Amino acid sequence: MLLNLLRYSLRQCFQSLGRNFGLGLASVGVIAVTLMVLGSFLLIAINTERLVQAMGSNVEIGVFINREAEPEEIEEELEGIPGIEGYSFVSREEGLEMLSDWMGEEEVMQDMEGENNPLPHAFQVRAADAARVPELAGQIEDIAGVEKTDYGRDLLEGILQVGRWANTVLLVAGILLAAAAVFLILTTVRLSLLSRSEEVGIMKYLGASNWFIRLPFLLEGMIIGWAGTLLAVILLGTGYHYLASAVGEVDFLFLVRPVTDPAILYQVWLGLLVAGTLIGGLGSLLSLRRFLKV
Amino acid sequence: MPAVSKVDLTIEQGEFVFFVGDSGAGKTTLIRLVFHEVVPTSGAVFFHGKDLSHFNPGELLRYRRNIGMVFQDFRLLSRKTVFENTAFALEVLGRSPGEIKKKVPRALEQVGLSHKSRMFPSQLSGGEQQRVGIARAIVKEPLLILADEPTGNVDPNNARYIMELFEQINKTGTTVVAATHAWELVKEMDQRVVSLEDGKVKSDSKKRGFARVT
Repeated sequence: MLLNLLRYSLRQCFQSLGRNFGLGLASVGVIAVTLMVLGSFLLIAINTERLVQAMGSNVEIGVFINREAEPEEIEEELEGIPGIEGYSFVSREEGLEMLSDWMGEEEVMQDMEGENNPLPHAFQVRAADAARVPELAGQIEDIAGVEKTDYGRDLLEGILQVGRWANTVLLVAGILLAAAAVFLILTTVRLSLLSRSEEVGIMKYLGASNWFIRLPFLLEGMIIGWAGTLLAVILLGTGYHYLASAVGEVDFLFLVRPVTDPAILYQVWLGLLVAGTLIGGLGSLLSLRRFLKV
Repeated sequence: MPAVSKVDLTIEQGEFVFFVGDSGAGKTTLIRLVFHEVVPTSGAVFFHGKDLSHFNPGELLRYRRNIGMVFQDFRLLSRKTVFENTAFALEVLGRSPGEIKKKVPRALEQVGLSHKSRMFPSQLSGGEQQRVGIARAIVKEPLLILADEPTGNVDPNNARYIMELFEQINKTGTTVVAATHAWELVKEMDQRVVSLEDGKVKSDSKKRGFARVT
């Protein structure tokens, strides 16, 4: 019975797609464009996230300790804080050397050597997640013996803000585009339904169940959604591949290395295909909703 | 003003009943009430003692699958052949291709259209189209045939032939309820006649019990 239903539904679905080929093709095209825009936003968001991570991981927390405190004790405490990816110890002497190199006034610095060195011992701490830098800095400051911490607060906040904005834009644009795609499928399936309204009416009199009537249309919407998304994925994938290669070759964009990890990209393509197919199914179901009252 | 009111009648299993009356008498409304396409504003329709309005969607579907509908305007699908139109009644019930191949030729033979199974409705006369409609109704072997003005769009000779077909179907044990205003034809047949006027039963040639419309 189920097999007969599926066989019948697939036959009806392909017959209908063949009959309304032009309309179906137009829908596939528009879905492809919509999903391409959606996919582009998704790729932008993923790359922005990567950029934020890359820039964020360059942000180090400078931890300056009291003259009386023992660096080993501070080190032990740092070991116990989760979220710290690594750290390096910068002694007072190394600190002075770095300052001297940076200022380029070696003579002035010579007077500050030994007991005259005003700099404290310090640690350079790297966070595993850039977003957690402010929180980690706070935790480190609470360690006894830590004088103060320092990181590029404004810069980091700015970077994180960009990441948050990108996510919000993606979410809003994604919802709007998905709604547009649902509406498109809904219109296509409704037209297909109207062209078969006589048949649907007779089916009801013959005792067809609602699912029996729904299934061919549901499959039709899902196939249109799937085909449109497949086209979008092929075009977007090819375009992204070339763009990523081109950007990768530009030296001064060393921080903007596009995501090319196949595992991540396959997830994006697969996610888009599933979303496109579901959008197709949802559009169909919505267009069928009012049609099945007997 | 209700289309039918104060109608109290019982139809027995295996009976052949005509609803007769002028246009607007309430014949079609009674047919639609029995199919539960319209719900009575007061009163109830019973099938085997159970009120149709108490049926859940599954029960209603099963109930309707026991009914073969025949329409005045045939309601055939123009893009399907005679065979496909008849087979459609089994397809929508999810029956197997094997069963369809076995039962459809039998139903077409019963209505005398075996030789036209590959034709499209537009290639058939009105009478022949109605016979396809009857084949579609009987192919699923229903308990009850509901026919709404089955001879309304058919010439007199074919109308007689269609009524004879219904009699043959009825003889196999299927209950037949037909709404018609073809008085002449009804008079020639020795069947129960319920005459309607302004939505009320004017006369009933006999009274018994299967489906109850009140």
